[in-house]
Amino acid sequence: MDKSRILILAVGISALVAFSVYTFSEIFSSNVPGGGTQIQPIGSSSLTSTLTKTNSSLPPKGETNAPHGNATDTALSIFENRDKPENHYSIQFPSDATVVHGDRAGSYLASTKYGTFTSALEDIPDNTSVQLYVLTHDEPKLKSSLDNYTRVSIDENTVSGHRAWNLIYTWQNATSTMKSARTYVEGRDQAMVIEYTALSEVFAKNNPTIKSVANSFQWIDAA
Amino acid sequence: MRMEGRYLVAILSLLLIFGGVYFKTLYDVPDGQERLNAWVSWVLVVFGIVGIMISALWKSRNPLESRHKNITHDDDSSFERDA
Repeated sequence: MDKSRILILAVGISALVAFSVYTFSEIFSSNVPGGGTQIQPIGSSSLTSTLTKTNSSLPPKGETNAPHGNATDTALSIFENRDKPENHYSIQFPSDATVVHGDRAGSYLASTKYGTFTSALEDIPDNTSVQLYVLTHDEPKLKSSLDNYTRVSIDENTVSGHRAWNLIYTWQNATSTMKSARTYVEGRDQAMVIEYTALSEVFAKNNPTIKSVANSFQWIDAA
Repeated sequence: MRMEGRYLVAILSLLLIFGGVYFKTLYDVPDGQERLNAWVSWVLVVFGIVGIMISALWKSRNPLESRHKNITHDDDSSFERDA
């Protein structure tokens, strides 16, 4: 066998090995926690002060971070998610919330006594926009899966410099009327869906917290 | 004009490699399909690389062609010797 043939074989085999390592290292080295794994915050936030300024019933000085049974008094903890490449994000949930990893990569579930927050990555196909996706895919899915689904509002705003859409709706569970708010934030690859669900009467009281959680969201390393 | 088999294999192999790289890097993979996408792109690229190797290692079975190459080679050597 002459030298050129050996060289061709060596280059070919090296290319095969290199591409195999590149392809499968991402998949098999995945360290995404399983669903239900408790997640620890990486820090706490200073958003509380902004939050309490908007609250008309301010607690006494020095007690701004203490839980008072009012969601607006709750400090926020910062969480970072790096499950999916190109879709790293940080979000803040109330510090009294129990935060666990969701079933899907890139999702968190934060349970508080006032309701439940979730953050999840949503794959938006390239041939549609987030708004169109919400109206043609997500909302019909909600209508078919929830009893008495009623849209309260849908509007466009901005979250940390990215276009976002807020969908607020009510629905009925076995015993009571529930209210949910979903914020869809555009991303470079996927969209972020931040959802808050609570009893209808509790929902309005927690508006500042809902806004703070949604506004705390940031894509990490986004262009 | 008849195309030599090795060139046809090389072109098809290049197409396979481009397909595999496209699926791996540019294609918007739906949620939950990442493993399937990785396997498909890997198979395409592996077949492409193997095809390129085959076309590069292709040995003609036409005795006239190999004889022609040998004669040309011998001529060059004798020319070098004469010089």
